[in-house]
Amino acid sequence: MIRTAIFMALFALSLGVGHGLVLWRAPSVFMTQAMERIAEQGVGLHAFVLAPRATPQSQSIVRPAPDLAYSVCRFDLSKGHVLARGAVSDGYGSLAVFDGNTNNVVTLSLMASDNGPRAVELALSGSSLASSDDVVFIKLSSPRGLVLIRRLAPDEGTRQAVEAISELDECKLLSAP
Amino acid sequence: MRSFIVTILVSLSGLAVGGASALFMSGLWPGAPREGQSQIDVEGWKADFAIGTVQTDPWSRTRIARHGLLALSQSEAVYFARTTDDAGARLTEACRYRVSGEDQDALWWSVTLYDGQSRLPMNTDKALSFDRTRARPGARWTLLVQPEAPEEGEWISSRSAGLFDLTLRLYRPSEAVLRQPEAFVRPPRIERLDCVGATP
Repeated sequence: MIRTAIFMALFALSLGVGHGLVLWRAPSVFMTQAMERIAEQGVGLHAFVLAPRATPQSQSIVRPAPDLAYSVCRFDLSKGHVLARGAVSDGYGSLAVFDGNTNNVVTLSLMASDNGPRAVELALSGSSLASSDDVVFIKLSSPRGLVLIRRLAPDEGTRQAVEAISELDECKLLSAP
Repeated sequence: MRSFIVTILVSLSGLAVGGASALFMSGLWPGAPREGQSQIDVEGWKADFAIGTVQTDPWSRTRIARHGLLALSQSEAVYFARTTDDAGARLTEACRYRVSGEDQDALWWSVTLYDGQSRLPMNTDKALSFDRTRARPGARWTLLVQPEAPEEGEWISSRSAGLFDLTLRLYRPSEAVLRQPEAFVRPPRIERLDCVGATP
């Protein structure tokens, strides 16, 4: 009787551990897989790369919007602070930071009609960051993640304009930690 | 020795059941519902406004990591998905649909078709979506969703999509949309026209 109770308790404990483990690890596993697929497509660390127009044949993430142009920068904060800055344009544009656990940590507008900072400096928790009016400072608990710039580009004309603007985007390693 | 083996088997069974239940509750187990706890339903168009935020519950976070990775948080964009037509039948490549709607209270919006694996359908029709830049300002819009190009008019291709969903993106939604989506999102209608062969 006691042995049965012990085994039932052990099963319940294992069930809780298994449930929690999957929920804890799954988002970062999916994010890591996505970052690996993006790296395989030639996106190095600490530099923006404008992705080809999203098509059924080119999609590297789920649910890409074919009307948007995506510039992506992979970062690794174990190598130092990272600065990402997006160029401003008239149409819709945003710069979004995603941490290794899939959180959308911050989103900045890149539209000329909006005011506000256009750049973000990223560092690991525990680092010191100076304040500034035109740069948003963010501390992350995990070293790796993505900066994603979205710009509206539903046709070939706007796509070509976005290609020119995206040349001005900047993603770079600032310093050693 | 026997107790040791039973202990290992019980532990492994618990881990497996626990892991499977997490996948099921996150909508990742085959056949499991993909709806989160913060579900908003506007006439069949379903959204989770907690997407992208740290506050997202762990089951939603896992589901979104698989089916909506790199989605923006609600102040920048909200995403509504619909898997059924106006009569409640599953959207399928085997049928043709007329989709109609009006402008949204947002900076920009689009309607895009995704297959059952949350991917753009593997076709070369270059008719994957419809967006605000193609709609006449202030006017209702209508398009066809079907596997072959129509003779005229706007369309989204469902070729090679199998069972699919339509996703309505609202970028920079108004405060009213975020506060009362049921009142301020204008849900597109999806009317089934006809079908070929067996339908789900």
